[in-house]
Amino acid sequence: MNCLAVREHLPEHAMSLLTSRERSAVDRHLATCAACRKEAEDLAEASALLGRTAPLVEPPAGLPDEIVASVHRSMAKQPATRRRMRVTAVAASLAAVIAVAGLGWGAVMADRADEAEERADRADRARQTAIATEQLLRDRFISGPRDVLSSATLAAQDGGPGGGWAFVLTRQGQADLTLMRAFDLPADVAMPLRVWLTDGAQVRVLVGRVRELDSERGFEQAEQTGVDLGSVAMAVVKDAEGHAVLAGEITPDGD
Amino acid sequence: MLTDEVPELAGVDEEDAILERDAALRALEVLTDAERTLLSRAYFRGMTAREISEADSIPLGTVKTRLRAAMIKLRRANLDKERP
Repeated sequence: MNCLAVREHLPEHAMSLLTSRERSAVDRHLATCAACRKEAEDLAEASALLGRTAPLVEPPAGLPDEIVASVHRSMAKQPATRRRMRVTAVAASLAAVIAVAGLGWGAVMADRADEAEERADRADRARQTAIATEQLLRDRFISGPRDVLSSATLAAQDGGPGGGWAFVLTRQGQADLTLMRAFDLPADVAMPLRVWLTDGAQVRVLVGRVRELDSERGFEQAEQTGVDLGSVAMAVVKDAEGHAVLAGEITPDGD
Repeated sequence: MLTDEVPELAGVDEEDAILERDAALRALEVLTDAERTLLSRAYFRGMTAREISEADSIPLGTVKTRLRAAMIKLRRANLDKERP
């Protein structure tokens, strides 16, 4: 890439919106061009400012101090990733709960059980986290008959590995909330992934984009949205080429 | 890595984080509504310039130019606040 082409990509570079290939090409140029590097640094400052405008994140009350501290540490260590910054306070407190469950997963991984057993453990963890998350959503965010919690079990498509779950909380007079956890995705899955909610016809809402998988080869998505999610019926995770990787039907949870 | 060297919340206590947030929000005030909306779609919703251009039916180059202009304006506003 020459300077002109690089400059065109720099705003998105600063916001981590480029594909990994574009990003590498830009980075290669920046390594040798001081003028473009200066521009990239200025834009990165602007991007960091945007990150600072996000609501401050508080871990949920009632967690043991030790776990709260470790969540704080992991968040402080993490650079201003968009995923972390875009979540709102409510959604972030839920994400923190999931992160805490993730600490348990680390212990499972450290034992290096054989692959099948690891998978079973991960699936079991995911299930337990889902149950805990549902309970938390019910306790904290459902305040009337118009607040509806729906869920989906995400199953791998095309016979591949992987699974997950999704919750959709639709609330009267407040932003709707989605929470999703996926794990064990194929190692060669084409990134970035896109997370969609759809009614199968007209409504299709992009609720997230996933650029990197975490250590469980999965991801968490927590998002509050101004879009009314009342009519969505399916949660679909697609890879960069548009193939469905995970999908599940969203159904209202019975009481 | 340029964008990875800004650990906003690292090593700062909560009060600093709140002050930084206030300063950033003040800098945002210099932007027009259209500029704020554009930045929010890119930064918080993760829309690429191409996606924005397709959604709004405006040329890709225009979106990129506007993105850059809004970001530079935001940074400038923040610098001006620091050194009045």
